[in-house]
Amino acid sequence: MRATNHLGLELCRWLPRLAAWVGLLAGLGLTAAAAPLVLQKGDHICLLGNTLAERMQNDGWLETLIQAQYPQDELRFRNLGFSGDEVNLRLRSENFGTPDEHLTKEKADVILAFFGFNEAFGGPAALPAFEAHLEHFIQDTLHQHYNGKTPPRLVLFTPIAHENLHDPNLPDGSADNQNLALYAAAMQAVAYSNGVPCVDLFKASQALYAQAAQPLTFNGVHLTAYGDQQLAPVIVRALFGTAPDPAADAARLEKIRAAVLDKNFYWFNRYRTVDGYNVFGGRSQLKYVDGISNWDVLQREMEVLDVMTANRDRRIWAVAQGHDLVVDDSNTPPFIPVKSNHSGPGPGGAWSFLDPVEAIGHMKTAPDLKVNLFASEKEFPDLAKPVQMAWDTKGRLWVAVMPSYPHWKPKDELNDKVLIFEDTDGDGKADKCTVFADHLNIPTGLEFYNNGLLLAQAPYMMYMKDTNGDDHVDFMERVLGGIDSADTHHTENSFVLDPGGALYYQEGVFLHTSVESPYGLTRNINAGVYRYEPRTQKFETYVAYNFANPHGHAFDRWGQDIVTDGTGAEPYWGTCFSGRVYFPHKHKHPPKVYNQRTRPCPGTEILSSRHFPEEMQGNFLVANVIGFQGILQYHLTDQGAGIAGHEVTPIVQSDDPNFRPVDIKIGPDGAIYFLDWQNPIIGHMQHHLRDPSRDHTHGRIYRVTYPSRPLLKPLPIAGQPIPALLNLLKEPEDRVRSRAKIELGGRDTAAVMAALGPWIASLDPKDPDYEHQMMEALWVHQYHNVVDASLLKRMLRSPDFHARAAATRVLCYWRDRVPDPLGLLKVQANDDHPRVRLEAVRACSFFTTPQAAEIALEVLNHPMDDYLKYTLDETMNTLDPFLKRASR
Amino acid sequence: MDGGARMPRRRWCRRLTRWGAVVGWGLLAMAQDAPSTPAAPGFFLPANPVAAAYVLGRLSNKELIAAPRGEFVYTALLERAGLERKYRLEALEGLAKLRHSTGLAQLLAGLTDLDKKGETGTNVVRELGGLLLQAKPEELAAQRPVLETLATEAQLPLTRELADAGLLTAGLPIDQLWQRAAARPEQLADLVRAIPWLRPPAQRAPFYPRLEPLLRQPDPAELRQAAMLTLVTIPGHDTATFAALAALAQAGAERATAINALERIPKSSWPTNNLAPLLASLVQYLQQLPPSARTETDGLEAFQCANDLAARLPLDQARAATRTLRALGVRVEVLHTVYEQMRYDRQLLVAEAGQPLVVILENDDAMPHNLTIVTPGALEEIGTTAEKMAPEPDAQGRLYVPASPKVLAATRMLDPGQTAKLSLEAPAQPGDYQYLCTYPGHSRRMTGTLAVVKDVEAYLASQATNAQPKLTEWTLAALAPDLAKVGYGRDLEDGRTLFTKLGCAQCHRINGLGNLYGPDLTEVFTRWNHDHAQLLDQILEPSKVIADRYRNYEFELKNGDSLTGMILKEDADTLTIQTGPADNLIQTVKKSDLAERQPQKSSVMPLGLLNLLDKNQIFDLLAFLEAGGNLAAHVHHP
Repeated sequence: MRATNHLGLELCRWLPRLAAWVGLLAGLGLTAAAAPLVLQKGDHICLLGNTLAERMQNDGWLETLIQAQYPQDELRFRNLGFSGDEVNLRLRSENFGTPDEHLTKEKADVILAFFGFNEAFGGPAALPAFEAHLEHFIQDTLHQHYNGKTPPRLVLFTPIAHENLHDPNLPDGSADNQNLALYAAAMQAVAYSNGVPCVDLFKASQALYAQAAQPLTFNGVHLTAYGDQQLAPVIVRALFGTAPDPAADAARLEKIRAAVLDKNFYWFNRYRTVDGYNVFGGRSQLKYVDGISNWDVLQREMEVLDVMTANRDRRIWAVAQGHDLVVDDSNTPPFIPVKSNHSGPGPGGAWSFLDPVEAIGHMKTAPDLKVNLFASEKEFPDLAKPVQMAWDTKGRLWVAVMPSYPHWKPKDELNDKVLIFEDTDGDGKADKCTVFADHLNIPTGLEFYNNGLLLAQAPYMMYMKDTNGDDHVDFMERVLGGIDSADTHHTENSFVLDPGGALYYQEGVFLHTSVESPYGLTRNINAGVYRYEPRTQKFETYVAYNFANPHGHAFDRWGQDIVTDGTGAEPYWGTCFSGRVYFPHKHKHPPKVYNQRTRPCPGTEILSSRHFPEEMQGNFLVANVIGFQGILQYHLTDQGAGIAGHEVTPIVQSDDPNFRPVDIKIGPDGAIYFLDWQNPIIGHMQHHLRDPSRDHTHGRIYRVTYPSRPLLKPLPIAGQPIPALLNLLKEPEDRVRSRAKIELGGRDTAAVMAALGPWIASLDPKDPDYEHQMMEALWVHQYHNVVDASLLKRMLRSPDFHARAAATRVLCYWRDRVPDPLGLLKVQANDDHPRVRLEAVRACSFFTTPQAAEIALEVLNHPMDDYLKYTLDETMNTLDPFLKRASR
Repeated sequence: MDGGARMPRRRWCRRLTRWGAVVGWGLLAMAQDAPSTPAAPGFFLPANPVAAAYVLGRLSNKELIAAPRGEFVYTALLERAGLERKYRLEALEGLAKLRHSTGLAQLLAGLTDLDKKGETGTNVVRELGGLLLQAKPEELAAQRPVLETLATEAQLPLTRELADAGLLTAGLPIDQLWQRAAARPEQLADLVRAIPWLRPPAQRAPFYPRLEPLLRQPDPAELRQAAMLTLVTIPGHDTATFAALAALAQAGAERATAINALERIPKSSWPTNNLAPLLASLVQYLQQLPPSARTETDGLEAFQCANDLAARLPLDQARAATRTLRALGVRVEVLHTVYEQMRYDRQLLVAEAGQPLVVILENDDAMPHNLTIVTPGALEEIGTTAEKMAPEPDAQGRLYVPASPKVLAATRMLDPGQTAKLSLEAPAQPGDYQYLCTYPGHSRRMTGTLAVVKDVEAYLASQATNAQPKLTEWTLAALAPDLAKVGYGRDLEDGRTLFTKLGCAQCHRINGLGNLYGPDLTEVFTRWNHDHAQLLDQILEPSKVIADRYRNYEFELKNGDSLTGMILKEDADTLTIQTGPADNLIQTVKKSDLAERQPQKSSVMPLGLLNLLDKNQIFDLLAFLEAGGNLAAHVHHP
């Protein structure tokens, strides 16, 4: 290795550290087979590995401490960590570049590799393969010359232990830790026999958990900022024997860390650039005016970011060395200008935009409906490029806007936002706009959870919260990572909550997603719908299907959902194709709910509001943005196991070519609100990413009312006592009940459960909605992750088939905590109603025994329809490997 | 099961066993002696029959064949499309045993079941129909209520006509059946279509007077069409039938059906004169057809018929007609498989060198067949290679088509009743190319020559005098009275030619001629006690006596593969197995890899080998065998 090759030079640096290092060996479990890590001036240090590595750049403590300790070495850190990485499988979107290519580009001298967390879920059975893969990785790495001269110096790091957060909603980690300990030990053994150092973070983190004043992880397995700060000195001491004293050096360290984080911003937006499929993947090769491709222009931008990152390395060194410098980015190469292939009629090819109110005159509505402007860029310039919205429990409208779409341009201010609109005087127009969060990058979806907000910002899902009441975010955690951002047009979108509080989002083709959770790794490629329980941190692929680009997901009153493939506006019934499949398998083509006549669709909503007449209740609203620019309306009916739809008069249609209704939500006043993306260009791939005709400043929110009928009185939700909130679950409006549960979801579980019993007892069994109210009670349990098997059993045998079907879905997600789940499913599989039977067949796919297949097959004793046939085939496909295993 | 129930089943099985010899099955008889394999522990199969059928429906044919036997698996083996006949027979036997019933009753139950599935079940219905009509009249008579129900209530016309054929075979009075059916035209059409199922063909003769008048009844069309296609299967009336059909075709009434029916009349029965008007009418018809319709089935059949007519005209007339035809479209040859005879209806196809050729294969048989065209001399190699292939489709979805440059073109494997169109450019090099069915076991009989020539008309004119082969289903009873004739005046040279031409030499050696796959026949006459009848009986029914050395076994390997072949050598650890008549078909298998071996009760020697011969030829062959293949040495007794 390099240290021995240059022994004379190195010895003087190395010896003083050795003594301290040897003393630490036993305590930290560092394998002593090879020389410890010795840095040289100008070393390029690359981090590899899973989320543990990736997240180290967010808080920057490891780099900060090393830079502080070796200020003269002028080290260059590049974090190549990537959520979901395993030593042998690192999922990337097309042409992202292999790890070798990135290490070569960064001329890596030192590699810090963090593997084993995801692999450990494979347990003892997968250990031999892991050992072999690790050995291959080590040997392969040691035979590379990424810096063009010498093999890299490699240090391995075991996974950290699973922290017991003593949260009933999270695993205590004991089972996981058995595997992690096994894998950590194996890593050390393999490292030892291959002569590379390995730092045992498993034991080190256990020691930290034991003495720490507060949790180091937010979910048991991924470090918080505090955890990153605690673990960093442990790593530095393990590598070098000493570490800076954070307490004594706090001000200096904080200054270095600020410089590190500034550098990391540019590095992350370069290495993990959003829209990668258009920057380096398949669509980067598309050529537009004068033959200029996305690749030509965007790769130049990547070079700009490389230079800006390097400029900030120098500032880090300056700060670490005790002075400072003003970063000068004038050394970046010039941007490449792009001409529009869709110029407007105005001077210089400019497009004209209708005045937001004037635009209403261009809209044709269904009879008796009226449109008014709620908000626009004219009164609120922040309202630029709105993409999704959600009404909070205070009756305020939260809107995610992304003027940077399709892709932030370096040197521009990156300032996508979440806005809060209020209509304080009740005139149907917003009069107040608050910026809840800014400096975001492509926030493509949002919903509420636990007194805060879940926000899409690929590759992350963020949890954001205002803790001091100023309506601006002051707490933030990346709760999910590894969500592919390779195409901003169809990454992580269409957030929706089911009645039991799980969050769903959609993602389209080209994307390669691998999300770590305390329960294991979820991989999926080329489109799907995902399901996330924020309370338990459970994450899974809800629909693994080769959509083009799904946009639009709506749950009805009974928890049945329609998933829309936005590209073709194809409506699918979620239940039939959301049974389990194992990566990389996908569901086959399912039956459609109706034959759509237009495309494409960016968003959908179920119309549930007594402001509108009875015949419109439950109608499915479908936004459509090309050809037909407006909102279509479909009447839904139960048909056999599933749902059928037929089109009725559209809600609204405009002849304004810029009119692009992208999201629809029923407001607290019962009116239909929709976002107008307002852009002459809607296509992502049809125009250059930097086409100057792409609008970045407009955005409107309109409201559709039925003036001959009274608006609904917005009901108080935020801050209401729990019993009042429970009573709101009797309301007919889906969104009111949903917001009541959002509010209840933020309350203390014990208090909610204590109130729920009396509320159930107070319900009137003669009320025609009694079964629905009882179902809501079950959903509140699900919201709070409290299993009530007896209530579940009651609902499984409800007189209303809608409730039996919905309860079967709950059973599916409680299957690990309800006694004899298959016995219960057997009854559902023989239910009188085909939908209940189908839910049972779907649920069977989540099991792994022949018995589950036998139960699913019981539906064959009853009449079958296309949906049942489809779902039974899908379930049996998933169960086949377990049957075959059983037959051998 | 009591002995009483056993007897009829045994008889039934014996009939089936005769069948099995053709396709190489033999498990059926074994199943009688050994209890069927109990379901393997852990094999996933629900107890509910509907669920079980669904689960088995998800298995591939290969997986189904490997599945441990039980009632549901037997049912699936009986009803699944694309399985070899031996599995049908095994299933019937298994079901009969499990349900304490007879194979015939289970066959009818299976037909009833398949009929409910509608069109998707048609091919297997056709296949099982062949088995149904193998049953004895008294056995069928015992099933009369079931047959009558099927004949009137089945949804598939094919099921109804098979049931009618069953009733006819059972010996029910024709008058009675006809009168009952005549009440409804579609029922009468079923009955008419049932007639060609009757065997031997002589059984169809009594219907001629009832069918012939139907040609003059245009309504209902279905009935007249049925009558046209049935009439051509009734022996002894070819000339009259040809004339009647020709008149219909010329008149343009039911032209497509008339042409189709005409083509089914043996060419040897076609008149030699007065064909020009029919040809002219077909040419005129083809000329007015839009070009796209000329390659549709009706157009192609008209082309074929016109070409066949032209080949019977004097050369100069033929040239003029075929020139016109060629200007209209590609050369088309239509080939049928012959029901239950494992052969094509034509052993000669003709193509012009380097010119496009379309061959239509219509599978009228009850088992799967394909058409594979190979280079001259490659027939045996391709046939034997195909036999060793696993039943997995190639990239084009074709089964049993070897990936070899010697294969010029091949259709997919056609299920019974299916048709395929093979379009190719005939090779530029003239020669006798060959065609065969590559389904394992078929290539020994199902072959023909594709003559690629420079001048098709001249070639056809030279061939026109060659009569199409005549087929006789010889029985010992039919030949025995004349066996004395073997003893004198025989043409041993002819016997030797036949020994090679019939394929005997593929598997037998006599006096140094032929392959040693089956027994050496040099001493065969001595082995059969110098008795012509015993020797002939063994040729007619090869499974009657099988020497242990030549017994075929079905081997199941632990990896799921299966092999069928004879055991050449057995020692403590290995078996040497020969799966076909070539040295490259000998392989050694470790006993430790074997899961099971099942001796088969049927011989690998095909049935019906003598059907293409007349009495004199058979006796020549017998004399040749008697002479031990020695033409010179043998001096025959007077």
